[in-house]
Amino acid sequence: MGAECYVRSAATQKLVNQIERVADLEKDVSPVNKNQSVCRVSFRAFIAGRWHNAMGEELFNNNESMDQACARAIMVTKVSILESVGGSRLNINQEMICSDKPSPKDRNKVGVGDRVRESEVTPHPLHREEFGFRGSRCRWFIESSPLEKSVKMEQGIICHSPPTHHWVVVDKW
Amino acid sequence: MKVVLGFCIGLGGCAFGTPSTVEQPIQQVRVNCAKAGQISNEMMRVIENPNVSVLEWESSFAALSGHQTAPQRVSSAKTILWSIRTNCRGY
Repeated sequence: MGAECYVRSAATQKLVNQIERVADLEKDVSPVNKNQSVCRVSFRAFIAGRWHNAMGEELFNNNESMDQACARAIMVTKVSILESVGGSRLNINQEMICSDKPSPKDRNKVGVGDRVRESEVTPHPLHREEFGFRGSRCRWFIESSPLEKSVKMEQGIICHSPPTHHWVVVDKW
Repeated sequence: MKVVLGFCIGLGGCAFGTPSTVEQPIQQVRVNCAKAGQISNEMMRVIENPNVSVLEWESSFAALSGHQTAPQRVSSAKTILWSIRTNCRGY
């Protein structure tokens, strides 16, 4: 008696990149027609040591939950930005930070006292987690500036400045 | 290439530098929170006046910033102070 045979296959994709942090999220919901609306999202994603701008949208029926539609828009946009940066599989380790306009930008240099958006500075590679300091949420960041034959690396601390979505550079060295 | 060896500060804390071409390598500092109050006071003194001694940590303190110029001592002190504030509550 012959054995029954079948082919079983499994495919895995190697993780290339991951979204380490999402910051400065903006959501905008507007009607498309009397039955449908669209949720447009934009945010900055920190992938492989750099901030990337990400934008996406999700069409939804007006009897659906707006929050769920926006969550889908965010998820799809994350996949899209990961693919565009070179990652092939979604793996997210992140915090979501809501923010308002204007859009953040990359800043070459910040100084103590400057007000910045979180994604305008580079997360510190050794101190990734937020910490509490005198009632504020604070984060480490790094800033590198090219010198003639080397790179000058500085560290700093930003603390959240409620009720705005801005952070203040409280120290830098 | 600058190589900074690991060093310890406090009873159980060590910092390990990695070979780097940057002017001032980013280094990790682990601090024994039981000594956080004493160490943070010393570090704040150095930040105010880089010429003061940091007592029992002077030798290991030097390892963080190589040559002991005033800006380097302040930089080391800030790295340690903010590491304390990050990892130990109330400082």
